[in-house]
Amino acid sequence: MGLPPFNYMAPKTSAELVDMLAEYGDRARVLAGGTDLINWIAEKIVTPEVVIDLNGLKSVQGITYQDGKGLRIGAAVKIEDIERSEIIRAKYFSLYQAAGQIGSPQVRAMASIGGNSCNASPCADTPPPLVTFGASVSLLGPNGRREVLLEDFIRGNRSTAIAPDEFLESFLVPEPWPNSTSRYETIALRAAQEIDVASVAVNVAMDPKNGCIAEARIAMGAVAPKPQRAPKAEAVLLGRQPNDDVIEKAAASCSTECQPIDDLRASATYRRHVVGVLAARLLRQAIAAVS
Amino acid sequence: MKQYIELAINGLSYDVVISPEDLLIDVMRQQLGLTGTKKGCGQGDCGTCTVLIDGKRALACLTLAIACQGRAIETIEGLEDEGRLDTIQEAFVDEGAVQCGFCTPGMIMSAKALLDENPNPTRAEIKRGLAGNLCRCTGYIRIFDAVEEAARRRQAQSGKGGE
Repeated sequence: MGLPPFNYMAPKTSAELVDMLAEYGDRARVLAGGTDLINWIAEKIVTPEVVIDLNGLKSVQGITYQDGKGLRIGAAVKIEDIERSEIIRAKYFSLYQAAGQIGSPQVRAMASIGGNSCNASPCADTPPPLVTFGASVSLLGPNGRREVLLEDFIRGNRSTAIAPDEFLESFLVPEPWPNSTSRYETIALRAAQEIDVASVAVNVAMDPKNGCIAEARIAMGAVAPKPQRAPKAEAVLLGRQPNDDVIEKAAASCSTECQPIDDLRASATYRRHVVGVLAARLLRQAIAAVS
Repeated sequence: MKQYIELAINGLSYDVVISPEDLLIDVMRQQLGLTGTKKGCGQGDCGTCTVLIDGKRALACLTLAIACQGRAIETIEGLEDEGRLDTIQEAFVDEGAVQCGFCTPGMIMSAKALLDENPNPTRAEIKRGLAGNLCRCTGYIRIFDAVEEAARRRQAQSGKGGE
Protein backbone atom coordinates (compact mmCIF):
# COMPACT_ATOMS: atom_id res chain seq x y z
CA MET A 1 0.00 0.00 0.00
CA GLY A 2 2.87 2.41 0.70
CA LEU A 3 5.66 3.66 -1.53
CA PRO A 4 8.65 1.52 -2.49
CA PRO A 5 11.58 2.21 -0.16
CA PHE A 6 14.06 5.04 -0.60
CA ASN A 7 16.41 7.13 1.52
CA TYR A 8 15.56 10.73 2.34
CA MET A 9 17.92 13.64 2.68
CA ALA A 10 17.23 17.25 3.52
CA PRO A 11 20.23 19.44 2.71
CA LYS A 12 20.47 22.78 4.45
CA THR A 13 22.58 24.55 1.84
CA SER A 14 22.91 24.60 -1.95
CA ALA A 15 26.45 23.27 -1.60
CA GLU A 16 25.18 20.22 0.30
CA LEU A 17 22.53 19.63 -2.36
CA VAL A 18 25.08 19.89 -5.17
CA ASP A 19 27.34 17.38 -3.37
CA MET A 20 24.43 14.97 -2.96
CA LEU A 21 23.51 15.25 -6.64
CA ALA A 22 27.16 14.72 -7.59
CA GLU A 23 27.19 11.53 -5.56
CA TYR A 24 23.80 10.12 -6.55
CA GLY A 25 23.15 11.64 -9.99
CA ASP A 26 20.12 10.03 -11.57
CA ARG A 27 19.70 7.61 -8.66
CA ALA A 28 18.26 10.62 -6.81
CA ARG A 29 15.15 12.74 -7.34
CA VAL A 30 14.74 16.22 -5.96
CA LEU A 31 11.57 16.81 -3.92
CA ALA A 32 9.88 20.19 -3.81
CA GLY A 33 6.08 19.98 -3.47
CA GLY A 34 5.76 16.29 -4.27
CA THR A 35 2.45 16.56 -6.11
CA ASP A 36 4.04 14.94 -9.17
CA LEU A 37 7.00 13.11 -7.64
CA ILE A 38 5.15 11.16 -4.96
CA ASN A 39 2.63 9.91 -7.53
CA TRP A 40 5.42 8.95 -9.91
CA ILE A 41 7.18 6.98 -7.18
CA ALA A 42 3.92 5.26 -6.23
CA GLU A 43 3.30 4.30 -9.87
CA LYS A 44 6.95 3.27 -10.33
CA ILE A 45 7.38 5.78 -13.14
CA VAL A 46 10.55 6.76 -11.29
CA THR A 47 12.45 4.59 -8.80
CA PRO A 48 14.85 6.80 -6.86
CA GLU A 49 17.24 5.38 -4.30
CA VAL A 50 17.32 8.77 -2.63
CA VAL A 51 14.78 11.57 -2.39
CA ILE A 52 16.45 14.93 -1.72
CA ASP A 53 14.15 17.51 -0.17
CA LEU A 54 15.28 20.98 -1.19
CA ASN A 55 12.70 22.98 0.73
CA GLY A 56 15.21 23.90 3.43
CA LEU A 57 17.38 25.88 1.03
CA LYS A 58 17.03 29.66 1.19
CA SER A 59 18.07 30.16 -2.42
CA VAL A 60 15.01 28.37 -3.80
CA GLN A 61 12.57 30.59 -1.92
CA GLY A 62 11.32 34.09 -2.44
CA ILE A 63 9.75 36.35 -5.03
CA THR A 64 11.77 39.53 -5.54
CA TYR A 65 11.37 42.25 -8.14
CA GLN A 66 13.89 44.96 -8.99
CA ASP A 67 13.30 47.81 -11.42
CA GLY A 68 15.80 47.46 -14.21
CA LYS A 69 16.38 43.78 -13.48
CA GLY A 70 13.04 42.05 -13.35
CA LEU A 71 11.73 39.21 -11.26
CA ARG A 72 13.49 36.40 -9.44
CA ILE A 73 11.34 33.49 -8.30
CA GLY A 74 12.83 30.71 -6.18
CA ALA A 75 12.16 27.30 -7.72
CA ALA A 76 10.48 25.97 -4.59
CA VAL A 77 7.97 28.82 -4.39
CA LYS A 78 4.47 27.37 -4.10
CA ILE A 79 1.93 27.94 -6.84
CA GLU A 80 -0.43 29.55 -4.33
CA ASP A 81 2.27 32.09 -3.45
CA ILE A 82 2.67 32.88 -7.16
CA GLU A 83 -1.09 33.39 -7.30
CA ARG A 84 -1.08 35.64 -4.22
CA SER A 85 1.96 37.72 -5.17
CA GLU A 86 1.00 41.36 -5.69
CA ILE A 87 4.02 42.08 -7.86
CA ILE A 88 3.28 39.14 -10.14
CA ARG A 89 -0.36 40.13 -10.47
CA ALA A 90 0.67 43.71 -11.24
CA LYS A 91 3.47 43.05 -13.71
CA TYR A 92 3.09 39.46 -14.97
CA PHE A 93 -0.68 39.06 -15.00
CA SER A 94 -0.76 35.97 -17.22
CA LEU A 95 1.47 34.14 -14.72
CA TYR A 96 -1.00 35.00 -11.94
CA GLN A 97 -3.81 33.66 -14.13
CA ALA A 98 -1.87 30.48 -14.94
CA ALA A 99 -1.09 29.77 -11.29
CA GLY A 100 -4.78 30.01 -10.47
CA GLN A 101 -5.59 27.33 -13.05
CA ILE A 102 -3.46 24.62 -11.48
CA GLY A 103 -5.10 21.69 -9.72
CA SER A 104 -6.96 22.63 -6.59
CA PRO A 105 -6.31 24.80 -3.54
CA GLN A 106 -4.54 21.88 -1.87
CA VAL A 107 -2.35 21.20 -4.91
CA ARG A 108 -1.54 24.90 -5.27
CA ALA A 109 -0.48 25.00 -1.62
CA MET A 110 1.99 22.15 -2.14
CA ALA A 111 3.16 22.30 -5.76
CA SER A 112 6.19 24.36 -6.78
CA ILE A 113 6.76 26.56 -9.81
CA GLY A 114 10.08 24.75 -10.34
CA GLY A 115 8.42 21.37 -10.48
CA ASN A 116 5.90 22.66 -13.00
CA SER A 117 8.74 23.38 -15.46
CA CYS A 118 11.11 20.55 -14.53
CA ASN A 119 8.39 17.91 -14.88
CA ALA A 120 7.62 19.44 -18.28
CA SER A 121 4.15 18.16 -18.90
CA PRO A 122 3.11 19.53 -22.29
CA CYS A 123 -0.03 20.76 -20.52
CA ALA A 124 1.74 22.57 -17.67
CA ASP A 125 0.23 25.99 -16.99
CA THR A 126 3.10 28.20 -15.84
CA PRO A 127 5.55 27.59 -18.73
CA PRO A 128 3.59 29.29 -21.56
CA PRO A 129 3.30 32.66 -19.76
CA LEU A 130 6.91 32.43 -18.58
CA VAL A 131 8.03 31.74 -22.16
CA THR A 132 6.19 34.85 -23.38
CA PHE A 133 8.13 36.91 -20.84
CA GLY A 134 11.45 35.51 -22.04
CA ALA A 135 12.05 33.85 -18.67
CA SER A 136 15.21 31.89 -17.94
CA VAL A 137 16.00 29.19 -15.45
CA SER A 138 19.08 29.38 -13.27
CA LEU A 139 20.58 25.93 -12.74
CA LEU A 140 23.16 25.19 -10.06
CA GLY A 141 25.62 22.34 -10.35
CA PRO A 142 29.19 21.42 -9.43
CA ASN A 143 30.57 23.88 -12.00
CA GLY A 144 28.46 26.76 -10.73
CA ARG A 145 25.37 28.40 -12.16
CA ARG A 146 24.18 28.47 -15.72
CA GLU A 147 21.15 30.22 -17.19
CA VAL A 148 19.03 28.71 -19.90
CA LEU A 149 16.08 30.32 -21.62
CA LEU A 150 13.01 28.43 -20.38
CA GLU A 151 11.87 28.04 -23.97
CA ASP A 152 15.07 26.04 -24.60
CA PHE A 153 15.20 24.38 -21.15
CA ILE A 154 11.95 22.52 -21.76
CA ARG A 155 12.78 20.23 -24.66
CA GLY A 156 9.68 18.11 -25.03
CA ASN A 157 7.21 15.85 -23.29
CA ARG A 158 8.61 15.49 -19.76
CA SER A 159 12.10 16.30 -21.03
CA THR A 160 14.33 19.17 -20.00
CA ALA A 161 17.96 20.20 -20.42
CA ILE A 162 18.74 19.61 -16.75
CA ALA A 163 21.84 17.52 -16.01
CA PRO A 164 21.75 14.77 -13.33
CA ASP A 165 24.14 16.77 -11.14
CA GLU A 166 22.18 20.04 -11.33
CA PHE A 167 19.06 21.46 -9.79
CA LEU A 168 16.78 24.31 -10.83
CA GLU A 169 17.38 27.09 -8.32
CA SER A 170 15.35 30.02 -9.63
CA PHE A 171 13.47 31.63 -12.48
CA LEU A 172 14.66 34.97 -13.83
CA VAL A 173 12.00 36.96 -15.64
CA PRO A 174 12.94 40.18 -17.45
CA GLU A 175 11.12 43.41 -16.69
CA PRO A 176 7.92 43.71 -18.69
CA TRP A 177 8.01 46.01 -21.69
CA PRO A 178 6.57 49.49 -21.14
CA ASN A 179 2.89 49.80 -22.11
CA SER A 180 2.43 46.05 -22.08
CA THR A 181 0.21 43.50 -20.50
CA SER A 182 -0.30 39.75 -20.64
CA ARG A 183 -3.16 37.27 -20.56
CA TYR A 184 -3.55 33.51 -20.19
CA GLU A 185 -6.57 31.32 -20.72
CA THR A 186 -7.22 27.61 -20.79
CA ILE A 187 -9.84 25.30 -22.21
CA ALA A 188 -10.60 22.28 -20.04
CA LEU A 189 -13.42 19.84 -19.40
CA ARG A 190 -13.70 20.65 -15.67
CA ALA A 191 -13.35 23.83 -13.68
CA ALA A 192 -10.65 22.39 -11.40
CA GLN A 193 -8.42 19.35 -10.93
CA GLU A 194 -8.12 19.15 -14.68
CA ILE A 195 -5.53 18.86 -17.41
CA ASP A 196 -5.88 21.51 -20.10
CA VAL A 197 -7.22 20.67 -23.54
CA ALA A 198 -5.39 23.76 -24.81
CA SER A 199 -4.04 27.03 -23.48
CA VAL A 200 -2.72 30.29 -24.85
CA ALA A 201 -0.51 32.96 -23.29
CA VAL A 202 -0.06 36.37 -24.89
CA ASN A 203 2.27 39.22 -23.99
CA VAL A 204 1.64 42.43 -25.93
CA ALA A 205 3.12 45.91 -25.87
CA MET A 206 1.54 48.88 -27.62
CA ASP A 207 3.35 51.93 -28.98
CA PRO A 208 1.52 54.90 -27.41
CA LYS A 209 2.67 57.26 -30.19
CA ASN A 210 1.03 55.48 -33.11
CA GLY A 211 -1.27 52.88 -31.54
CA CYS A 212 0.60 50.04 -33.23
CA ILE A 213 1.65 46.75 -31.67
CA ALA A 214 5.23 47.27 -30.52
CA GLU A 215 5.92 43.75 -29.23
CA ALA A 216 4.00 40.50 -29.21
CA ARG A 217 4.74 37.04 -27.88
CA ILE A 218 2.38 34.11 -28.03
CA ALA A 219 2.92 30.70 -26.45
CA MET A 220 0.48 27.82 -26.56
CA GLY A 221 0.17 24.93 -24.11
CA ALA A 222 -1.10 21.38 -24.50
CA VAL A 223 -0.89 21.53 -28.31
CA ALA A 224 2.73 20.47 -28.75
CA PRO A 225 5.30 18.46 -26.78
CA LYS A 226 6.51 21.71 -25.18
CA PRO A 227 5.20 25.30 -24.90
CA GLN A 228 4.71 26.34 -28.50
CA ARG A 229 5.65 29.81 -29.66
CA ALA A 230 3.81 31.21 -32.69
CA PRO A 231 6.45 33.27 -34.52
CA LYS A 232 4.39 33.67 -37.70
CA ALA A 233 1.43 34.97 -35.70
CA GLU A 234 3.77 37.31 -33.85
CA ALA A 235 5.16 38.61 -37.16
CA VAL A 236 1.62 39.33 -38.36
CA LEU A 237 1.06 41.55 -35.33
CA LEU A 238 4.34 43.45 -35.05
CA GLY A 239 4.19 47.10 -36.06
CA ARG A 240 0.56 46.80 -37.16
CA GLN A 241 -2.60 48.57 -36.07
CA PRO A 242 -4.58 45.97 -34.11
CA ASN A 243 -7.69 45.88 -36.29
CA ASP A 244 -9.95 42.83 -36.66
CA ASP A 245 -8.19 41.75 -39.83
CA VAL A 246 -4.76 41.66 -38.18
CA ILE A 247 -6.02 39.87 -35.06
CA GLU A 248 -7.96 37.25 -37.00
CA LYS A 249 -4.97 36.63 -39.26
CA ALA A 250 -2.68 36.17 -36.24
CA ALA A 251 -5.21 33.87 -34.57
CA ALA A 252 -5.53 31.77 -37.70
CA SER A 253 -1.77 31.51 -37.85
CA CYS A 254 -1.70 30.16 -34.26
CA SER A 255 -3.94 27.32 -35.41
CA THR A 256 -1.38 26.32 -38.02
CA GLU A 257 1.66 26.70 -35.77
CA CYS A 258 0.84 23.96 -33.27
CA GLN A 259 1.00 20.16 -33.33
CA PRO A 260 -1.97 18.95 -31.29
CA ILE A 261 -2.87 15.31 -30.82
CA ASP A 262 -6.11 13.39 -30.46
CA ASP A 263 -6.50 12.07 -26.95
CA LEU A 264 -9.20 11.24 -24.43
CA ARG A 265 -9.85 14.90 -23.63
CA ALA A 266 -10.15 16.38 -27.12
CA SER A 267 -9.40 15.95 -30.79
CA ALA A 268 -6.49 17.57 -32.59
CA THR A 269 -9.00 19.35 -34.85
CA TYR A 270 -10.75 20.92 -31.89
CA ARG A 271 -7.49 21.94 -30.24
CA ARG A 272 -6.26 23.53 -33.43
CA HIS A 273 -9.50 25.47 -33.73
CA VAL A 274 -9.70 26.56 -30.11
CA VAL A 275 -6.17 27.99 -29.83
CA GLY A 276 -7.20 30.39 -32.61
CA VAL A 277 -10.30 31.38 -30.64
CA LEU A 278 -8.25 31.91 -27.46
CA ALA A 279 -5.52 33.84 -29.25
CA ALA A 280 -8.02 36.28 -30.79
CA ARG A 281 -9.81 36.73 -27.48
CA LEU A 282 -6.66 37.27 -25.43
CA LEU A 283 -5.05 39.58 -27.97
CA ARG A 284 -8.17 41.76 -27.92
CA GLN A 285 -8.24 41.76 -24.11
CA ALA A 286 -4.57 42.62 -23.80
CA ILE A 287 -4.63 45.32 -26.45
CA ALA A 288 -7.72 46.92 -24.95
CA ALA A 289 -6.11 46.89 -21.51
CA VAL A 290 -3.03 48.75 -22.69
CA SER A 291 -4.56 51.11 -25.23
CA MET B 1 15.94 2.16 7.10
CA LYS B 2 13.70 2.90 10.09
CA GLN B 3 14.03 6.17 11.94
CA TYR B 4 12.55 7.73 15.02
CA ILE B 5 10.92 11.10 14.43
CA GLU B 6 8.62 13.43 16.35
CA LEU B 7 5.44 14.68 14.78
CA ALA B 8 3.47 17.61 16.18
CA ILE B 9 -0.22 16.94 15.51
CA ASN B 10 -3.06 19.00 16.96
CA GLY B 11 -0.73 20.47 19.54
CA LEU B 12 0.50 17.10 20.80
CA SER B 13 3.92 15.56 20.20
CA TYR B 14 3.97 12.00 18.89
CA ASP B 15 7.06 9.79 18.79
CA VAL B 16 6.95 7.49 15.79
CA VAL B 17 9.24 5.01 14.12
CA ILE B 18 8.97 5.41 10.36
CA SER B 19 10.72 4.63 7.12
CA PRO B 20 11.55 7.56 4.83
CA GLU B 21 8.99 6.42 2.25
CA ASP B 22 6.09 6.36 4.76
CA LEU B 23 3.28 8.74 3.87
CA LEU B 24 1.81 11.02 6.50
CA ILE B 25 -1.68 9.62 5.86
CA ASP B 26 -0.54 6.07 6.61
CA VAL B 27 1.47 7.00 9.72
CA MET B 28 -1.45 8.97 11.16
CA ARG B 29 -4.06 6.35 10.42
CA GLN B 30 -2.11 3.16 11.11
CA GLN B 31 0.33 4.10 13.85
CA LEU B 32 -1.36 6.95 15.65
CA GLY B 33 -5.02 5.97 15.50
CA LEU B 34 -5.85 9.29 13.88
CA THR B 35 -8.34 7.84 11.44
CA GLY B 36 -10.35 11.02 10.98
CA THR B 37 -8.26 11.88 7.93
CA LYS B 38 -9.40 9.58 5.12
CA LYS B 39 -7.55 7.91 2.29
CA GLY B 40 -9.66 8.14 -0.87
CA CYS B 41 -7.81 8.16 -4.18
CA GLY B 42 -4.29 8.15 -2.73
CA GLN B 43 -3.27 10.41 -5.63
CA GLY B 44 -4.07 13.92 -4.51
CA ASP B 45 -7.26 14.27 -6.55
CA CYS B 46 -10.15 13.70 -4.13
CA GLY B 47 -9.16 15.79 -1.12
CA THR B 48 -10.36 13.43 1.63
CA CYS B 49 -6.85 13.45 3.08
CA THR B 50 -6.71 17.24 3.41
CA VAL B 51 -4.93 18.44 6.55
CA LEU B 52 -3.28 21.72 7.49
CA ILE B 53 0.49 21.89 7.92
CA ASP B 54 1.77 25.16 9.39
CA GLY B 55 -1.65 26.55 8.53
CA LYS B 56 -1.39 25.65 4.84
CA ARG B 57 -3.44 23.06 3.04
CA ALA B 58 -1.70 19.73 2.44
CA LEU B 59 -2.68 16.38 0.98
CA ALA B 60 -1.52 13.81 3.50
CA CYS B 61 -1.48 11.09 0.82
CA LEU B 62 1.26 12.96 -1.04
CA THR B 63 3.21 14.09 2.02
CA LEU B 64 6.17 12.17 3.44
CA ALA B 65 5.93 11.83 7.22
CA ILE B 66 9.67 12.37 7.50
CA ALA B 67 9.30 15.77 5.83
CA CYS B 68 6.89 16.91 8.56
CA GLN B 69 9.37 17.14 11.42
CA GLY B 70 9.30 20.53 13.08
CA ARG B 71 5.99 21.45 11.42
CA ALA B 72 2.58 21.86 13.03
CA ILE B 73 -0.02 19.45 11.63
CA GLU B 74 -3.74 19.99 12.19
CA THR B 75 -6.27 17.28 11.47
CA ILE B 76 -10.04 17.02 11.88
CA GLU B 77 -9.48 15.54 15.34
CA GLY B 78 -7.95 18.82 16.39
CA LEU B 79 -11.07 20.85 15.76
CA GLU B 80 -13.10 19.41 18.60
CA ASP B 81 -12.44 21.02 21.96
CA GLU B 82 -13.24 18.85 25.01
CA GLY B 83 -16.36 17.42 23.45
CA ARG B 84 -17.52 20.66 21.83
CA LEU B 85 -17.61 20.69 18.06
CA ASP B 86 -15.93 23.51 16.21
CA THR B 87 -18.19 26.08 14.52
CA ILE B 88 -17.60 24.63 11.06
CA GLN B 89 -18.35 21.09 12.24
CA GLU B 90 -21.60 22.26 13.87
CA ALA B 91 -22.64 24.11 10.74
CA PHE B 92 -22.07 20.97 8.63
CA VAL B 93 -24.26 18.97 11.01
CA ASP B 94 -26.98 21.63 11.24
CA GLU B 95 -27.14 22.18 7.47
CA GLY B 96 -27.37 18.47 6.63
CA ALA B 97 -24.03 18.58 4.83
CA VAL B 98 -22.96 15.14 6.07
CA GLN B 99 -24.32 11.97 4.42
CA CYS B 100 -21.84 9.10 4.40
CA GLY B 101 -19.31 11.38 6.04
CA PHE B 102 -16.29 10.17 4.09
CA CYS B 103 -15.55 13.51 2.42
CA THR B 104 -16.45 15.47 5.53
CA PRO B 105 -13.12 15.70 7.36
CA GLY B 106 -11.33 16.89 4.23
CA MET B 107 -14.18 19.26 3.38
CA ILE B 108 -14.08 20.77 6.84
CA MET B 109 -10.31 21.20 6.84
CA SER B 110 -10.53 22.90 3.44
CA ALA B 111 -13.40 25.05 4.69
CA LYS B 112 -11.34 25.98 7.73
CA ALA B 113 -8.41 27.02 5.56
CA LEU B 114 -10.79 29.05 3.39
CA LEU B 115 -12.53 30.82 6.26
CA ASP B 116 -9.26 31.51 8.08
CA GLU B 117 -8.05 33.33 4.95
CA ASN B 118 -11.36 34.79 3.78
CA PRO B 119 -13.87 35.15 6.64
CA ASN B 120 -16.71 36.27 4.38
CA PRO B 121 -16.48 34.34 1.12
CA THR B 122 -18.96 34.60 -1.71
CA ARG B 123 -20.67 31.43 -2.93
CA ALA B 124 -18.30 31.42 -5.91
CA GLU B 125 -15.30 31.72 -3.60
CA ILE B 126 -16.61 28.83 -1.51
CA LYS B 127 -16.98 26.66 -4.61
CA ARG B 128 -13.47 27.52 -5.69
CA GLY B 129 -12.11 27.02 -2.19
CA LEU B 130 -13.61 23.53 -1.99
CA ALA B 131 -12.77 22.60 -5.60
CA GLY B 132 -10.19 20.11 -4.33
CA ASN B 133 -12.71 18.09 -2.31
CA LEU B 134 -15.01 15.60 -4.00
CA CYS B 135 -18.32 14.42 -2.56
CA ARG B 136 -20.29 11.52 -4.02
CA CYS B 137 -23.36 11.84 -1.81
CA THR B 138 -24.65 15.34 -1.26
CA GLY B 139 -24.39 17.14 -4.59
CA TYR B 140 -22.41 19.83 -2.72
CA ILE B 141 -25.30 22.32 -2.22
CA ARG B 142 -25.65 21.73 1.51
CA ILE B 143 -21.90 21.73 1.92
CA PHE B 144 -21.72 25.21 0.39
CA ASP B 145 -24.69 26.25 2.60
CA ALA B 146 -22.82 24.92 5.64
CA VAL B 147 -19.71 26.92 4.82
CA GLU B 148 -21.84 30.07 4.41
CA GLU B 149 -23.50 29.35 7.75
CA ALA B 150 -20.15 28.69 9.39
CA ALA B 151 -18.89 32.00 8.05
CA ARG B 152 -21.93 33.79 9.51
CA ARG B 153 -21.49 32.11 12.90
CA ARG B 154 -17.77 32.83 13.02
CA GLN B 155 -18.40 36.48 12.18
CA ALA B 156 -21.05 36.66 14.89
CA GLN B 157 -18.68 35.09 17.41
CA SER B 158 -15.83 37.41 16.58
CA GLY B 159 -18.23 40.25 17.10
CA LYS B 160 -18.68 38.96 20.63
CA GLY B 161 -14.95 38.74 21.31
CA GLY B 162 -14.04 35.48 19.61
CA GLU B 163 -14.62 31.79 20.36
